[in-house]
Amino acid sequence: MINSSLAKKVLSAALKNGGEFGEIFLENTSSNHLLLMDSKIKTINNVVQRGAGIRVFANDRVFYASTSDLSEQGLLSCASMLSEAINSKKISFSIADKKTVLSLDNSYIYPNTVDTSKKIAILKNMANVACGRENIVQFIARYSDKTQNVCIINTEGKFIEDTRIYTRIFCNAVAEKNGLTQTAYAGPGASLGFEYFNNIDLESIVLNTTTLANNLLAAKPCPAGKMPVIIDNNFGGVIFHEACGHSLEASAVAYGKSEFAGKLGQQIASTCVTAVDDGGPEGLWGSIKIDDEGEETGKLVLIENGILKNYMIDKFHSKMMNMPATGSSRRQNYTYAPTSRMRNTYIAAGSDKFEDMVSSMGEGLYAKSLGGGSVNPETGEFNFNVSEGYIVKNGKIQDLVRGASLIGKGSDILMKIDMVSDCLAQDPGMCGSSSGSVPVTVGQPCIRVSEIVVGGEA
Amino acid sequence: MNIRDMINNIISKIKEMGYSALLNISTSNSASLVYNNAKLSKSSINNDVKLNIKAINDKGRAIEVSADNLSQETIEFLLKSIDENLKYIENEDVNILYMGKEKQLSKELSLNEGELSVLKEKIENIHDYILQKDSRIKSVTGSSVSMNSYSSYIANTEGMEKSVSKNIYTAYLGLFVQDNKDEIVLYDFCYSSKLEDLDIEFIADRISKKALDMLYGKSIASGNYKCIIQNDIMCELLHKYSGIFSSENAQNGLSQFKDSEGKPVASKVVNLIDDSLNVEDIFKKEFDDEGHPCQRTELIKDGMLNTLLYNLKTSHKIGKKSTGNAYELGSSVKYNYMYFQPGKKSLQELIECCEEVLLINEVEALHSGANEVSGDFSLPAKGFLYKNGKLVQAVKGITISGNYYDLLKRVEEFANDTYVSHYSLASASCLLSSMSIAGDN
Repeated sequence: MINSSLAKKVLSAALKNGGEFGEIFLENTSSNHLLLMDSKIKTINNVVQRGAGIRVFANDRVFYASTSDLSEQGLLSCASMLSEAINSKKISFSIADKKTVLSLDNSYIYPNTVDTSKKIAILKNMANVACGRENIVQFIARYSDKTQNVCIINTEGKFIEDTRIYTRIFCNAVAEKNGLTQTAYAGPGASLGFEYFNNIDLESIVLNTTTLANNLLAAKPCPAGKMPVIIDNNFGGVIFHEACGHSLEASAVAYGKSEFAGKLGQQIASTCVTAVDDGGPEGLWGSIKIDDEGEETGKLVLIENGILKNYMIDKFHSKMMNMPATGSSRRQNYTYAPTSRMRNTYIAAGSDKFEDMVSSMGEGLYAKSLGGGSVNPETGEFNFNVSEGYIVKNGKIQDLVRGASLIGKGSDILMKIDMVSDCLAQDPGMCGSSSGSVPVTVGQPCIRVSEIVVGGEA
Repeated sequence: MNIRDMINNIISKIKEMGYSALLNISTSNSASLVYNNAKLSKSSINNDVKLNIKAINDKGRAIEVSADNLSQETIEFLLKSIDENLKYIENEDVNILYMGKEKQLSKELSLNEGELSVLKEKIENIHDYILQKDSRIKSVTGSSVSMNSYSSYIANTEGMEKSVSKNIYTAYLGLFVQDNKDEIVLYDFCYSSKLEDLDIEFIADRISKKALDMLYGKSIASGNYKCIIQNDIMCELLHKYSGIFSSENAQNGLSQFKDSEGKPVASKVVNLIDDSLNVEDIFKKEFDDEGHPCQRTELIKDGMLNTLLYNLKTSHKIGKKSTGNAYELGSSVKYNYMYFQPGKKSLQELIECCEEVLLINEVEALHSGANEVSGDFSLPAKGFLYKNGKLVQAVKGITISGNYYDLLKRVEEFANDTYVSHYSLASASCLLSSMSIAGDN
């Protein structure tokens, strides 16, 4: 993508008027998206993204510029434009002569080498499973893959290239009866190639999705009020992601804009809570070998037995916080400056049994699946949509309900987790923040919260 | 090579491949300054370009490709993928091109380098201004200013060629307000097509008042309440559910208005119009993403659904004319500038005509708590409770839930306080006969 000599020229231009750190992020991404509707292939879309982002730290500020012109002239022009805004002390630097290239082993099948007909076959098989299912009036299946090649060069001697691949399937089922419409959704994915489909049970995913959409037609609105809630594993982990994870990112903590700022070493959660952000596990949707600053990723314990142990920190904020970067710097693409973000975040497994959690609960809500949510890191106020929830009465799971949401404050909820099961599971999602939308995994075992406000019908 | 030459070059190549096509190249040059706690922390400059191509074969089947890089290598890759993949499209909808041959090219705008300094001075003055307003305003937690010069060119193989160019200036403010008993964080922003019209002081006043008024909010008992949805929140909801007026969604079974044209769908006081011709410059739009002229369309007239919104493909499918609402090269349908017709009373008069009414002025989680297909929503909300026209308390820690299709039928009256949203739509505050509220047990 770029050689050492050109990188030196570009960074010299960017640092012409000073700066303590300079970086070039180059990207070459291709993605492929197929949409099936009414059992027919409706659209196929190929997308190409090629460009560069140049970043300088100076005077406690980030200066950032991006361009899609990857010619020498284009890169130099972008760097010069950036430097015009800077007036700072100059540094001397050298660029590594040799680039480190990280590679995937031969077990990965790059999606951009797979014939379109094979991708279509996957969607058609899903449509065949959905066909004729009770009350299903529309079934939409989407296939998406992305191959992202990145190269990072900085004035600290980093010169590294990596290729990331992503494969994902989505299905939406629309059920209709007597004028009432309900929907259900599933979206499994992994940081793997086309071989991902050898190990995934798409038939079960389609059956579960169509069944849920149909069952929701008969579901009553969720009753509203404060009650105990069991949140299931897999995508249930979005509660930790939103309610606490964002508040542990340096982009909030460094400015005191987090309810957990200045609380390292303090108890911020119930003693049964240990929480981790791990960029490393191979194949997980949020895994990256290096972050978008070229730093190695790894396992970061955020909370251990309720005590706050670490924040997720990127290079810029590490200087502000005087703490080391944690391989947590991410961006959607070259048009965004990177910042601290989550990767694969989860609450570690506990020792409780799911059956015991339900039977000792009395009355409340079992949130089997959450549909997404958001948080204000400054106040910790969060909200989640429950996409599949069941009323619990007398310690037994009973009727499916619809329209439930959960609201509260992260720090309160962490202290109110009273049981954690032994069955950790994770699910993929997309996380949006100031550096764009990035793939993350959320996860947890089943957790029980002693009291939470459930939004529903009064 | 300039953009017009590049478009003509690609069109020639696609014609040689035996396809007809619609192309769009958009460019965006922007600069922004981001502040944390009123301290400048990031300066960004982005020069972006995007190419979209929709190629159509002789059966009317279409495929789209896109890139944010205009190198020869990228364009060759895109054209190759069109050839390789168009044969797989099975959808039987017939894609057609706009057959007008107009050349409607606007003057290209650009940004003045000195304007960023003006924006910087404006926002930094506002930081001081806000903090002096009230001791409970503890910080401007986040703020930013940006300027963006945007141009979009579309052309097709039938000879249509049009372009539009706009400058947009934006300012954003986030406030942290706190006293011993409560705290609140609120955000607000403003935008303008002219730098001199960007009124940051206005939003500073608006957000400060709102944040201070909303302090000490508490939950209310769960139940059904008579409710006023504030104008800006009505815009948020209309934006979220705008897809229900898309003929594309209706034809695909994703809107419950699929067989509702000519039928009552809302209370009789509801009038919904799409018209981007008679609006201020920043929202003005004379042609859609297929090059088809935009028009004034009455979607809902006195509660009756007159028509959905159409592009060339969806209108051709049922023998109608396009309403000029093609979006993203006609792959979907979207409003241009949609608004609810306002009523005659002021918001205060609307409040005073209710014995008890809950005014909702904040909702969150529209991305996850509102389902565009079923119409169901369950959203965290904040607001104010009034009795006999008098403010009783600020309200927080509640959720509102219901169904948007049903909400349209529960409208009793619109106020006259039309708010224009950056989403290119507008609404006045709206009195609903009831809303389900989850709060205290």
